[in-house]
Amino acid sequence: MSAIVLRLWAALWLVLAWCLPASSQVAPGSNAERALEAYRAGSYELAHELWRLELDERASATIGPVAAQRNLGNAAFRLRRPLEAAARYTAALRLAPRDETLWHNLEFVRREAGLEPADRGDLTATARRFASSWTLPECERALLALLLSLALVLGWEALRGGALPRACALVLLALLALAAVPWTWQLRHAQRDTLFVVQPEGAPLLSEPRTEAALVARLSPASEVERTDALPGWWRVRTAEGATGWIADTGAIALRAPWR
Amino acid sequence: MNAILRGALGALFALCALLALSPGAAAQGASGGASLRAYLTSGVVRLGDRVALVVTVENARSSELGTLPSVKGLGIGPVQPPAEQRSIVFLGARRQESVTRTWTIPLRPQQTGQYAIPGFDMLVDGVARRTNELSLNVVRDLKGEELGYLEVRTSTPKVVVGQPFTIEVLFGFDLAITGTTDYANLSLAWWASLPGLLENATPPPDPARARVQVVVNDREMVEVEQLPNRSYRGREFLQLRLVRSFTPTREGRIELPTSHFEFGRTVQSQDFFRTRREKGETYFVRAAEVALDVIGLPEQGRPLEFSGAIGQIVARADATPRDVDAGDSIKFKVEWTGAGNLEFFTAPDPARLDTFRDFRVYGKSEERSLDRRVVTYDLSPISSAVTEIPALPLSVFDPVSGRYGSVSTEPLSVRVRALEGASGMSVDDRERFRSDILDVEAGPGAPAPDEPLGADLIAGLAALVAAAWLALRIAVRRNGDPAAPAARARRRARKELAASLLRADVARAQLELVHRFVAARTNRRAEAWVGVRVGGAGAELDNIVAELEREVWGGSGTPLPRQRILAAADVAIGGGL
Repeated sequence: MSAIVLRLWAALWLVLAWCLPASSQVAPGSNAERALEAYRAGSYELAHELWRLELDERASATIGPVAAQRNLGNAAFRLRRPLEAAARYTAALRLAPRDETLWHNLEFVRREAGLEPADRGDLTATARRFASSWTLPECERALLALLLSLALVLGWEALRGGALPRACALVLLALLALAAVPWTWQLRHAQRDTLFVVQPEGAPLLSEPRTEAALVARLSPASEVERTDALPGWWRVRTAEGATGWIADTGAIALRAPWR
Repeated sequence: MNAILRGALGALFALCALLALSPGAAAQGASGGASLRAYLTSGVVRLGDRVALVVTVENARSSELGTLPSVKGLGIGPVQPPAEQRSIVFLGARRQESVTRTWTIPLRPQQTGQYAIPGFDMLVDGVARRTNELSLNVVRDLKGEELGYLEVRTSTPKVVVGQPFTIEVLFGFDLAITGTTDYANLSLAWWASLPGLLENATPPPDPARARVQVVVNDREMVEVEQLPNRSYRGREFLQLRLVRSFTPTREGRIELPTSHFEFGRTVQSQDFFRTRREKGETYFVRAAEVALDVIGLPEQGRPLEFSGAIGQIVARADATPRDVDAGDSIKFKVEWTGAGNLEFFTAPDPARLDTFRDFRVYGKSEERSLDRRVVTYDLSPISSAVTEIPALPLSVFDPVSGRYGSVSTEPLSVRVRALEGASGMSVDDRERFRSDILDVEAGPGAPAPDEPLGADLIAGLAALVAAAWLALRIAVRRNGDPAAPAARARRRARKELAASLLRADVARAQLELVHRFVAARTNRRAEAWVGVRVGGAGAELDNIVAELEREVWGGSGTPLPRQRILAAADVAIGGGL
């Protein structure tokens, strides 16, 4: 009897340990901690560099990518680079699309940079925000749960028939269709290797990866383009209008598609 | 609302001014932006003097001289090929090249008199255009130089593109002949033909001075100002003044040909039909040619914030009210006066100046005129720490020194009180709270999201679910529809037996319920099972039926335990009943 109680007690502790949030402090002496200290001391350039290291070296990182992108955005804004800050917040929102702090900061820096709001509040923007409000794994989990429920209901319908299982199946199918909207959107958009143009005067789109090449177009600041190839110092991109060309890698920031 | 309306009107005015300064407007062309002008090198000449008709076409790709008119007593021609001149037109930051073709056609008057040269056709960019009519006065002798005077002068010998200047015509005649002088005519060949200039509004006349009507070019009546009499060559002269103001829009040289002032008395003549007044004794005074150089704004030293202001400008500022609460509106009125293009420069925007970072700028209203420019800014201090409205600078090019400089207002002291009844936060704090990013994430934050399962897996699972459902449904329905009434009654039989047995308190009722149960499970009528054994897995059920029948037919009617009947039913169902 006492052995059973002990096992139950141990299991309860395991469950509690799994449920409790991870430590709320970063590891002492890590880049993240030094970056935080530098930021608090007003050394924004150093803080920016350290957080960038945290972001680039994921294997040894002590903070999550959302926090790293958010903090990089703050440091960039303090360094009077609002376009880069907007890029960082946009990248972070791809990982945590419902984070109110990120939305606040993004809209603020876009306003400071003289850009249109990311969420204009009209019908199209609201639909886009709904579609992008879940990450791809979240969409998949929701779809899996709904598929499992649907399988049970369909089994019930196959064995017993009747109006009730059919109604339940229809409701579940409607929910599946609704959940498929953000999933499809994420499949279509979030997995692209997107770049965010951060050059205040716009990035020149050149026909070849050399500075003397012909100018194909000028990418407006804060526009998003898809990266299709890369060379040292250069990125080949495709615009939303279908134009392709090369830009210098200093003119844009990769939004770091997390699942590529 | 009024301020908004004034602001809109100001913007409209600025737009109109910009459009007026555009090359198309400057060229004054009726079609395609090309302009055509014709004038005489002198409106009055002595018989035998040289005089020419000058025709200029500006900003045209092609132009041809049409057939010249024929005027009795006046030889016109021969026509030489045109001279071509290229010049640069400056419009703010824009630079445009202008091409001018000039035909100089000699005129040979054969006798004295007044010649009217009618307009003639020109082909400009393929379109026929007509010149204006001109008047030439040919006299035997230009006498009377000592009886009058004429001076044509510009306010400056050299101007910068965009810098306003005036052309002043001073003229008059000896007061001693006032009684015998009853007409005056200014012969100004350049009057309607000054290319590259935009005429400004005339300054309002001095109400203390008399105004006199004078004829210009024997055609047009203009009002001139009468100045105090003037002593000249030891005699007293009547003095009149005509002023026109212009703004040059391009570089180059502006030449004002010889001008004449003609005055005298008229005589009355009568013929059979009517009485006419004709020029009698006429005197002429001549003014030499005048030239003005228009130069471009120098690039060297031009500040990035250059407003386009040119001239010698003075700034003055005032603000009301001076004692306000934080967030209240202050009308900051700035007035620029002096000799300059006050109508055309771009007023500075305090919102773009660091010195005004403690103020919100809600808008401005403007009043423009030739002699002053007034801009009223709507400012609001955001902090009680504000003690003054800083100096507002205006970047100006001074054509006298030839350098760019800045004209600033004086700082104005103000008192700003913190808002009463506000929370513990000062106005500064609230502003900062509202308008800043939220702080960095001090903790490790959310972990990296899981890897996605992939669209193939999701789609495969969906297909599998659909296929499994179809397969199961087909297999189940081979044995009949599970939703049919008989099938549903069969599934319900056990549940109904259990519920009904609770109410059955005699053996007869229990027997009926057992028969009904067996009937529902076998899809037959209950009466069909009277006296019939189920057999097989229903053997226990058969025993119970037999016992119940004995109780019923034996007369005691004692019921059997409910649990026993249900257990027998379960065994029968498990055995395939």
